[in-house]
Amino acid sequence: MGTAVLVAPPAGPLRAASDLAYRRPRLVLWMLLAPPLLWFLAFYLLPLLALLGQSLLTFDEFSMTVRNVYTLANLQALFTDASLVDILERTLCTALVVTAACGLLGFPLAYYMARYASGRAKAWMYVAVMVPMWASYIVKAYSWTVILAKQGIIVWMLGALGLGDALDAVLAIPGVGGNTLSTSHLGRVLVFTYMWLPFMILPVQASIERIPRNLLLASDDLGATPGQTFRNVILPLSVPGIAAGSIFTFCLTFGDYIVPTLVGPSGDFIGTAVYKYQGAIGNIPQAAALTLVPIAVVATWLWLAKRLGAFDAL
Amino acid sequence: MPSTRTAAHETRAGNLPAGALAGTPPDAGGAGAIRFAAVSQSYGDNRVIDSLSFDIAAGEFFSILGPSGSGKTTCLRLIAGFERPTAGSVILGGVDVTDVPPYARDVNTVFQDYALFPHLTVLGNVEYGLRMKGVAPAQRRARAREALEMVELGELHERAPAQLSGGQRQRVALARALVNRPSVLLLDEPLGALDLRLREQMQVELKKLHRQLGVTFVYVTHDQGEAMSMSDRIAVLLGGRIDQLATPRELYLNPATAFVAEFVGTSNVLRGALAAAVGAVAPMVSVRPENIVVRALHEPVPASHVALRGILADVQFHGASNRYKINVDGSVITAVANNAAFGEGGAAETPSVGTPVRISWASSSMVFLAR
Repeated sequence: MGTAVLVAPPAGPLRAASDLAYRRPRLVLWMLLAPPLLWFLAFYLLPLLALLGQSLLTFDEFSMTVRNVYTLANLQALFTDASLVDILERTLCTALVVTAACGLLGFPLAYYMARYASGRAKAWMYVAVMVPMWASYIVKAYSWTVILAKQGIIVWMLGALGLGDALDAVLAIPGVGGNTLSTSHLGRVLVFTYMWLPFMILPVQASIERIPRNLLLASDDLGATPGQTFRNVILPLSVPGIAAGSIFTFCLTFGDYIVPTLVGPSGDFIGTAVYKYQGAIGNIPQAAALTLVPIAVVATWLWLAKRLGAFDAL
Repeated sequence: MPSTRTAAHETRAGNLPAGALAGTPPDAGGAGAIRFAAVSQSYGDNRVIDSLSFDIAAGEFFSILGPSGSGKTTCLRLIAGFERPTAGSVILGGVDVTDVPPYARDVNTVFQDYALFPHLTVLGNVEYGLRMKGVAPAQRRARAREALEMVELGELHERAPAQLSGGQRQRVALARALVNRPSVLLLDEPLGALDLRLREQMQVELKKLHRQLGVTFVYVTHDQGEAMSMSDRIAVLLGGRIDQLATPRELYLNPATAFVAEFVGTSNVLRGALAAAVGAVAPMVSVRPENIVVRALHEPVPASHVALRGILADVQFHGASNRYKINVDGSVITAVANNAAFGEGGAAETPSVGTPVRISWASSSMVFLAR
């Protein structure tokens, strides 16, 4: 008997601080949250609002300066100016095709990683998916220009296989082809798909992995064939992962200005257009207005996905 | 396996008149009948089920009872078709289904964690099986509603599973399985996650559903009380083999092995010198606590009883009964006495803790165990 049940720290400033933290749990919460919240506010939210504000300013084409007169002209131009509409259409179509290609290529791999690969094989697959992401983006983009070049390995290989004519036929299709593989739409989509595929695979893999195995057994037990189980259980429950992955592929394509410059036919993307407007011309308001497009598109896409119940099972 | 069964039958035959033997081999041909023919299941070197053979009759409430790791859930998965046995065959309604995939079997399962689809409503979950089989929308809605009425969840059909309580999810899982009108319903510890009161209520309802539907119920549990109160017959599984397969009454009155005696209800299994002291003709003797009478040394013991001397180590008051712990030569023996039996002033007869007592039981209440 006589041993202390409660060991209290010695009195002092630390003790006082600890007592305060115990009495006011909210204070601790705010102390933890304040730095990231401030960071978020200062570097994400405020610049975004500034962007929105700048998109409403007037650009004087004669003096090439920005005047503090509010106007909706820049936003209006996104829908009316033929060259801008052209840019938006090109970017949107490419982003859609790239997203679809990433989904079609990524889903089977993600499914295999989540359901079948185990131990060592799974670890290697993770490495295989992630390592290309660590390599320099510029180096990868440039090496693709070499791969796709007229004297490059793909053209050479297709020629050796006697498929040179087939390639020419594909390149002759309007909207898909171009003069050469490296200046074709096909080549550009190929490079984009290569770049963003890991961003699709990883979230989809995570969402498939989270589906309890018993749900698949239950579906099986209730008379669903493997195909029915895939359509009715696996696919709906992996939609959150597909949504997350497609936001990555979509946004990354929307904002990119390296790949459109290096591969594919001429014509601006949102990224290259923003670069020109704010750099060469100094038309910050129009650049800001263009930048709002990806934000609006992704917000719409998220809203639509939510409406379709993509996140109900989260 | 054959040697196990022979041993079980010999022991039973020694304790019971031949007519009292239950568990007669059922007809294996009817829809809903299940036969395991020398089924083994191994995962690598780990043999989970070891050449199991038994029959379940159509319409029977059959329980597979065993501690964790005894292979009971594996048995269920083999019937459902989630696993393919490494040897032997599973026969459903007279048809060998060893190679038939789960979706083509006339069997439905209630999973331990319910496994409700989180992206579907309650109604969506219940009609899932019918939808997969291509039943017309109006008809499957009607049948799903009917099934929900049956488990008394009629008004909750638009809810998501996440909005339901554990007991309600349990009922949805039950409705989802039964709406398909399977010939066999498999239940994998379905009441494990429920609290005691709900569990008891569900036991009554499951039994009622079983009587109403005439479907074969195969019920896997580690809770002997649950198995005893509901089953027609129980297979007690240990280490992938059947220790005993019998009616609950027979399991309790005539356990075949020391494991069954101690796992089903509580029992005192006397071994070695103690067994010899009570005149055992086998290495072990099982005596149920309620058959043991505790008396002060000076009181007479009936001639039909065998008796032992010990020290009363503990008395626990349980309301309706008292539980005694008696130390006999270092072994602790448990005895239970119904308090109503004492009558007026009877309790005064209870010897006090620490005093020597004599315990005795009718020789006929002993069960001799070979292993």
